[in-house]
Amino acid sequence: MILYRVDDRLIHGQVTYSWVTQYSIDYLIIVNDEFYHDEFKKMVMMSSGDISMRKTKVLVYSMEIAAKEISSGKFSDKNLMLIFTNPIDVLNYAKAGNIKIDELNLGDMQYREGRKLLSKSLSSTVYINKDELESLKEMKAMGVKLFQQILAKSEKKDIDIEKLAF
Amino acid sequence: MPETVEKKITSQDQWNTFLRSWLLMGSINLERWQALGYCWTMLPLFKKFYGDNKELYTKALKRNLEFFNTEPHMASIIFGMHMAMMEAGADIDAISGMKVALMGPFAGIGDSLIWGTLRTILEGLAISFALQGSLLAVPVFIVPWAIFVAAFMWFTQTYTYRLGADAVREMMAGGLMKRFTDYAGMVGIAVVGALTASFISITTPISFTSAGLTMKLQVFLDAILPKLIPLTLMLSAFALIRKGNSYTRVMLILFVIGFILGSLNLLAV
Repeated sequence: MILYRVDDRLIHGQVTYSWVTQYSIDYLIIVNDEFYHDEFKKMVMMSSGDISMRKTKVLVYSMEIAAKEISSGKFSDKNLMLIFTNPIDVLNYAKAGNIKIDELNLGDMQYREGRKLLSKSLSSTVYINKDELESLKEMKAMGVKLFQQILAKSEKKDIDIEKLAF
Repeated sequence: MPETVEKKITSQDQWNTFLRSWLLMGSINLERWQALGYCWTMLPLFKKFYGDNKELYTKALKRNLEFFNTEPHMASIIFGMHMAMMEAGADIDAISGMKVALMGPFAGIGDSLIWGTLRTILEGLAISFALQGSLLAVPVFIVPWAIFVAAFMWFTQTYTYRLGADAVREMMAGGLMKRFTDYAGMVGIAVVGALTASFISITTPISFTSAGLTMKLQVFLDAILPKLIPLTLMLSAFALIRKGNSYTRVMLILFVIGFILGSLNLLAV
């Protein structure tokens, strides 16, 4: 089982704890080129997993490597959660590995210059910019269901990308 | 005044940053969280290091007003790193990159270390006083908490400033933080065990009579392990929570079981 999530901050406390315990995640995979190529950032991510979680391992992959590893079937019997910083990366990953994504959780995307509000729930927001919106449209056309859910027990909110225009 | 004066972080700077950092959450909003508190904490140092270059100063202020959120006590590590990087002349963008990389993981670690472990331990201590009706429960919680977090913030801030990235490496990949968290966790579990044994007084009044001899089940259970019933109840409640039940539901279940078994005289206080 693979859960897909977009989150600006990648790993953070409540989020990973609730998702990891609810779905018994074996591997939390950060998919981000910048973090993959920066030794310091990679070390911080991977060791933070060691420190705060018992049975879950944190891996840091670049988009290419993630696409290769996942499509190779290496993790087919494990529960995975893949975290990206933005939906464009998700799209590129899916294309690179020819991977079918059922649903994508736009968990937490903060306001940045150029971004507009797409969806808001009690304790999280989803702001996206023009390019990110395009990638979401493309994924929707590929059959990916888009939703927003911050914690594993929070309300799962459907996202309607038609409502937003730039 | 000499042209190239290397600016250094002084111990006065350390102290000021430490004091200001207590107001990290002084003014938050859900869009940028602790950004304002962070910027304000580092403000005197921005003035010191970038004050004579309007472009840099503006950039520093803008970038340090961007979204920032982490566990408030762990933030001291980030402040230490920030000071080390500023002194080393690092790019403002590189510093922001460091902040973004560290804030997420530290939030997770800090939540479990401070709020999950330290708070649980001190609460256990305070509860034992409170149950006896003693007002000492209040200082018993507040004083150790204040001392611990102040020491934690001060030492992590200065240690990280001194050793920079190596400090973070040592704490994270080097296992320092993990050992600390594990040991603290062990103390926390011991406290929970002690609380359970000291304050849950549930027994069973069941007794068997056979051939004129009456044997009380409780005596038998005590011979195996004293406080076996409270322990079982506590572990069952824990298992239920682990499975994802809410605290309210678990309390309800305990209430119902207690009521039923109590009325059937299978359990007693």
